[in-house]
Formats: sequence, structure tokens, C-alpha cells
Amino acid sequence: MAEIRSGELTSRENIKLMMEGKLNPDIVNSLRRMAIKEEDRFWKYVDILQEKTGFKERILLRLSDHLYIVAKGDERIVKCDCGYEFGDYRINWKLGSLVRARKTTEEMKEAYTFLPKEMPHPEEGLVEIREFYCPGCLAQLAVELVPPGYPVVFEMFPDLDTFYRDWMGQPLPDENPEWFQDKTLEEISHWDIE
Amino acid sequence: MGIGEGGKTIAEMLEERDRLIAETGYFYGLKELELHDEDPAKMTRFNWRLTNACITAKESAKLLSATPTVRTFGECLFMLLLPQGDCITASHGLAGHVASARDQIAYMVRLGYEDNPKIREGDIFACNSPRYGGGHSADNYTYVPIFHEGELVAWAAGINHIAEVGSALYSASVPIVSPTTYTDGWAYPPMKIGDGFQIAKWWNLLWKEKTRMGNFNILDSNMRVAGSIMIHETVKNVIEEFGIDYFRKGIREILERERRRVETIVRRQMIPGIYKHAYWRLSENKGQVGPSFPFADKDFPIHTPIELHLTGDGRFSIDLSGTSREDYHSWNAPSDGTRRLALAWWWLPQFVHSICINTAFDYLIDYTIPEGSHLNPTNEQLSTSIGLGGMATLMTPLWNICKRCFFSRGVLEEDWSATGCGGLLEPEGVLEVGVPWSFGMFGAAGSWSTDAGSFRDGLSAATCGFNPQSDMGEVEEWDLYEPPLVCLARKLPPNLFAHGKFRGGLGISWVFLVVNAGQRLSISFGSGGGPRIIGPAVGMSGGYPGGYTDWHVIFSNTNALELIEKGMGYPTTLPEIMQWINEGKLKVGKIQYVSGGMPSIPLKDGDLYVLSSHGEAGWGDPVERDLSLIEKDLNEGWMTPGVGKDIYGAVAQSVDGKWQVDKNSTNKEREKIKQTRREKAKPFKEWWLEERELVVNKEFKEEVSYIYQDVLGNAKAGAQFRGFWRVGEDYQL
Ligand SMILES: [Zn+2]
Repeated sequence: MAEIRSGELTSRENIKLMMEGKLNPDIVNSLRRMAIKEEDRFWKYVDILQEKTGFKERILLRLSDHLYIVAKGDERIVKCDCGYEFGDYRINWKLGSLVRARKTTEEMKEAYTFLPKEMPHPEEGLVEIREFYCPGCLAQLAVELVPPGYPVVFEMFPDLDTFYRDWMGQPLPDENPEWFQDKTLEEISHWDIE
Repeated sequence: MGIGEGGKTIAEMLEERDRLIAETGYFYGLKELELHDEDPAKMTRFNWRLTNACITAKESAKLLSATPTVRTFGECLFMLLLPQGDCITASHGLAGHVASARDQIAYMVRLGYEDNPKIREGDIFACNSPRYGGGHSADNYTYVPIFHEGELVAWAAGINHIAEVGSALYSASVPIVSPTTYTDGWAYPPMKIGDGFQIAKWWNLLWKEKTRMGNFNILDSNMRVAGSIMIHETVKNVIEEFGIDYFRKGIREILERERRRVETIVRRQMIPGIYKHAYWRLSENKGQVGPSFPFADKDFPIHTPIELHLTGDGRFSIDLSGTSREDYHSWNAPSDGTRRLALAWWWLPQFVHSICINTAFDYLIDYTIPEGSHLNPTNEQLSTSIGLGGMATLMTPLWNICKRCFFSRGVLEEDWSATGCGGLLEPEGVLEVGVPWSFGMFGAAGSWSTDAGSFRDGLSAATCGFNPQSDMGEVEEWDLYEPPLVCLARKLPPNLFAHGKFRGGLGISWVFLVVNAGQRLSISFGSGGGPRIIGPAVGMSGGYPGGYTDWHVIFSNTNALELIEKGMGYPTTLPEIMQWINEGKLKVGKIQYVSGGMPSIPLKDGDLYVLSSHGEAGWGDPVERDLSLIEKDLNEGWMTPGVGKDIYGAVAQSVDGKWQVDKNSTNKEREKIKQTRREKAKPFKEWWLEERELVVNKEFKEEVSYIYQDVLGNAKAGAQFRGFWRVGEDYQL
């Protein structure tokens, strides 16, 4: 393989190919061998994602394959690439999803094929598989393997203001300490339980 | 008059180090890296001399060991430490252990070892008790102080995982069932085991009396001492060449340079914020401890909820509020090991991309570990024999948290993570001629697969979370050390992974046949977890989390030996065995399924034993998997067409012996899967209301109640739980 200069190695085109799984594995390895990554990777990435999703809102952060935090008006919301909006990113987006909980051994075994048919596991009541789907496109967005009754996990709650201001050197226009307050329990506290 | 620099005591030097870091934020207050700036080439040469001293020590000394665990798998490490115990640089190998030495040295200092038994040139110290910073007593540490003109200037250290620790209930290096500290086997605090660079004679006698494999353990001990003395010699030469002032300043500068490096990596790849992950395992002891330990006769859940707060100044604050209590199982992990060793497994592969493996990252972390939890036990009667298993509950969550950040930053190429089961097969017995034997087979520990990344499948049987230099070893070599267990096959059977748009690395399985069992033969298996709870806990991007694929099937009273004698061959995977049984070819008496860690189970001639391990996590929604990848899986035998259809919606046909996936039918099938999702799923709030009933009515199995009792007993975790389910302040279990 010809020697790759660092500028070419980390080109926008290479990052895009890597995202699509089409970058030559040798080049992926060269990227991996960079102990310290180039400074502008994030900007290239967001630029590619903006193009890929076609969102008119600014992408603030990608959370997963389908989910993004975007700036919409004076809000910061979680949005699926199908267009479905989950609302305020300070509330665990799972609260806006569709959930299927696999609770019986049989249902769980449908999803986990590595157990011998004859083995009486997994044990019902000890564990359940929760699958979270997008109400818009029914994509499977997250899976939890937890005991029944386990509070739903808020996997990632980024401190966007600090990230953009202190780490990326480009503060967001609507900075406010309120943006880094988890509102999940507050949201649940409004639900009617009768 | 102390033995440290300029007559300071080591205790004073410890205090000085911590004070300077606290005051300045720089390691040892080094705002400038003068030696690096003055002559970078000289500094590089200096650094490499020290790193090479460790690598050379390992590569030479390991040949003294009698076990393939050390020689092939590389389960050992040699290090150069500051007088205070910080690791400056290390060999390749069992890298996580760089972090433990700091605590063991600190203990020696705090216990007043400078005065009694005194630390002098030529002394040899050793420790394996997990209460002083290690992970389990299999990991034995050896320290040789390095003096210059009467002052302690560094330590040389060696560590390896030994073959057997002399536990009470059965032979093992990681006794998976041990109800109290008194059944753990031989664990010793930091001890002076020799002087004048000579090991004391009584030391070897202790190995012979206290463990089942004394001779192997003595050779390993010799290896650690020999390697440490090699480092000692090289460092003396380096000091002569570079001068003592350069040496003292240079080794501190290396650590500050490395601290800055990891800080930069964190800022390039992570995102400040709060990350949560759940992880849990079962210590399956019920029915395994005999009538003498009724208090330990149950299955203990080991739950570790993790909240990581990465702040704007690049510091990691790890909060384990709600972690399960300490108890009468073998997985209690003293807090020093948790804070250093366990976390080093996390940060080493994620951040320390350096010529010298070091402990600079350690200074970026703060901890909250509840007292009395399994990761910070206070009851000294409890077992710690596989504390490392408890500590390991931190790895997968923290790796996944990093991976999530790397993905969000666009650093997709950094996607190494694993679910981390895969333990040690530990057979023992007495041969026909009366010779007792026992052994730990590291093949499973050395063949972890990895989780999928965001653009590629996981690797298969390729790695080990603890040991970046891992190697699963040759079947023939392992066979040599466990004579009655003949490995018939080591294979990657189909469907043994967790699903996703990108699938986890393939699981691996072994089939053993018992030949000439001798007077007695039994096997046990030290594992990270079993399929009763499938696995832990939070998947990536809609992919299924990796599972605890450590499971065992034992077929007793078979006619396998007869079949081989008749030239009829033998089955090589569990599905093949089941097929042979169904076809009436293979006759079996009893079939026993065991989940996860396996207690001592006796075997006889002709028994078949199947061991499975390592099906790793997927990434993304399975119905988005590329059709060509599915075709490849089908044609290479990693996936069966049924699973391809049920999970991935792939409609495949065999054309001239090759599987082809039809695009149109697959699209229709995938629509059907989405339809099923719509039918089976509920809007979150509706689901929450139903689940809440279960919580309100406390309809939990005993093991689940056990987990929530500790969650509710913790102020922070309890408030989260009660707030999430809206069950009121007085809710208890
Ligand atoms: Zn969607």
C-alpha cells in the first residue's frame, strides 16, 4: 500500500467511506494507529451527517445510528433520521419510543440464538429483553437486558454547552446551564397514574 | 533518616507526589518537560532503554515458567515503578496490572515496612492477597527495590497468573465457589521473601505445602524474581550512563508527558456529559457449597450500576451508587483493586496508545464506591478469591460508554469492546499411576471475540480484555497438561453471537473426550457469567448486547470411545452431537447443562464435554444488515438460514450449493418483522404503567429483590428508582 499522508488519510471522503463500511481495512487500521486523532474530525463528521440526513435543523450531536440531537428553533430535540421527533433531549428519548419487553424464555430465545435449544435458559422473571422502537419508522433503536422492574437506562446525556465551548472552541449561541439538567424524572412526575 | 531521595522516607515522597499533583495539576508539579525539550532524542533513548528492560525481562524470564499460560498466552508482566509505585513503563503482556503495584507499594509504606522488615538493596518482596490492590490470589506480584548510593530510586516488578492457589473446595487458580476467605486458598500480604537477591528457602516450601501445583508455582516465582533482577541490572546501567539526576527527573517527566497525552486523547475522542450503564452477573453457588456453609448456599446477583460523569476539565467521575452488597460469594473485590486494576482494564485499551504502558491516566479519575458493596467490602471474612470477576463488571460498561462517545465524535475506527466472559477450564485428578495433577486451561480466556462496531462485525476469537498480547494457544500444548481431556475439536459453531446490523464476533466451542481418566478426574470452570440471565445489559444502537455465552454440556456414559475405535469418527460441535444422538449413532446416559461458572464435576472415560464461550454484542438494527454480509455468513457457516430469516428477515435459497438472499422477498419479510414490532410493542407510557404494577406489587424473584434492596438502600440510586416508578419515599423491598 502506498504511503498515505496524514491529510489524505483523514480526508472527509475517507471518513465518509468508513461510516459506510466501504473504507479499505488497511486504511481503517492506519486511522486506528493515529494515537491522537486530527482536530477537525468532529466537524467533518457533522458535515457528512448533515448531508446524509438532509435535516434542515443543525445537528448538534449524533447519538446512535438513527438518533440525533438537533437544534430546532429555541429547542434542542432528539430526532430520528426518519423525521420522527422525540422531543427535549434532556428527557431520556426512550420515554417517547415503542417498547417490546420479551419476558418468557421462549420469546427471549428467539432473539438470542446462542443458547442450546435444550437449555432451560434464560430464566423468566430474572431477566427480560427490552426493545425500543421508533414510532416513526419502527427501527430498533436500543436494547436493554435487565431484571424486570429495572428503571430504563438513560444511556447518554451530553453536556453540549461545555463540549462546544471548552472542547471545540465554538460556543453554541443559546448557552444556558439549564441545558444540562436531566428532566426525565420530572417528565414522569407529570404522568397520570390513576 | 529515610531510604528515599535526600534522606526522605517513602511515606514523605508519597505525600510530596500527591501534594504537588493537587497543587499544580501536573504530575510531580512538572509544568515544563525540560529534559524532553532540551534533547528529545536523548529522552527517547532513555525511555526506550527502560521500556526495553521490561520487555527483555519478560521475554527472557518467561522461559523459566513451566506453564503455557505464561509462555504462550503471555499471562505475565514486568514493570518499572517510581519509588512510590506509579508504573513508568512496562513490558507487553498482562497490561492491566500496571495499576495494582501503586497500591501494594503504598501498603508497604503505610504498614511501616521501611522500619520493619526494612527495605534494602537485594531484598525481594511478594504479595498476592487481593486486599492489597490485586484482583485475585492467582495474580502474584514480586518486587525488587532499586537503590542508588543507599537511596531507593525505583522498583522492578513482575507479576503473573499462577497455575493453582490451593483453595479448599477444589483445585483452581480462580476458585469460582468459595464461601469465605478461609476457603480461598493461599493469599499472602506483602512479605519479604528473600534478601541478597536470593529467594528464602522457606518460600518454596510454602508453595509446596499450600498449593496443589507447588512445582509450577515455584518456577513462576523464580521467573518473576529473575525478570525483576534483570530490570534491576539494566536500570543500574542506565543510571550510570545518564546520571542519577537525569534518571530521577526523567522517569517523572515520562509520567507527566503520558498524562498530557491521555488528556489530549480524551478531548479528541470523548464528550463531556453523564453516561449510565447497567451490568450484572450471577454468582451461582446454590447447591455447590455443601452442608458446611448454609449461609453461602444460594445464587448471588452481582449488580453494578455505573454512572460516569465526564466533566469539562477532562476528569472522569465514576459513581457506583446502588451496587450490590458484599456477601458470601467469591466475587468480592476490595476497593483498591476496583479503583486501580479494574479501571486500568477500561482505560488502557481505550486511551493509552503509547510506547510505554503507564499509570498516568489514573490521575484523571475520581470514584464513589459505596462502602460494604461487593466492590468495596468491609467484612474481612468474606472471600475475594475471584474479586477480579466482580471488578470486571466495570469493563464492558466503561468500554461501551467510550465507544458511544467515539461514535458521536466520528472516531468510528476506535470501536474495540467486548462483553468479557470467557474464563478458565480447571481440571484436576489423579492419574492411574497415582500422580496427582491439576491445571488451568487459558484457551477460552485467550480467545475473546469482540463486539461489533458501527461499520463492521466483531472479530472472532481474536483478543482478550486483560491481555493485549493474548494467544489462545495450541490445542496440543494444552492437551499435554491435562492428559485425560482430549480436545476433539475447537470450532466456531453457527449462531453463537448477538445480532445486529453488524454482528458480534463469533463464539467458540470446544469438545473434549475423556480418555484414561485415571483414579479420579473432575473439571471446574471459572467464568464471568452464564446464560440464565443471558448477559448484560445495554446494547449499542439497537444491536443486542453480548451475552454470557459460557455454558457447558456434559454427556455421561457415551459410546464415543467405541465409535472412534471402530473408525466411525466423532462429532465436533454441540449441534453435531445432538444430531448423532437423534440418529442413534451416539449413545449417551445422562446430559447435564451448566450455566456460567461450573463447580467441580467428576468425569469418567468416554464422557463428552462441550464448552462454549464468547458470543459478542451486535451493533444496530438487525433488519438493516446488508444482504451480502448475510450471504457470506450463510455460505461460511456462521449463521443458519432459519436465524437469517427470523432475525434478519433474509429470505435465502441454496443455488448450486451456494446461498443467495433474494432482495424482494427479504424486503417483504423485513416489513413483516416491522409489523410484528408494531403489534408486540406498546407506547412507552402504556408499558410503564403496566410495569409499574409489578413494581408496586413487588412481584420480584428473590434474586431481583436482592438487587433492588441495595439500590433502594442507597440514597442516590434509591431516589432514581423511586422517582422512575413513582412509588413513594417509603417504598422498600
Ligand atoms: Zn425513525
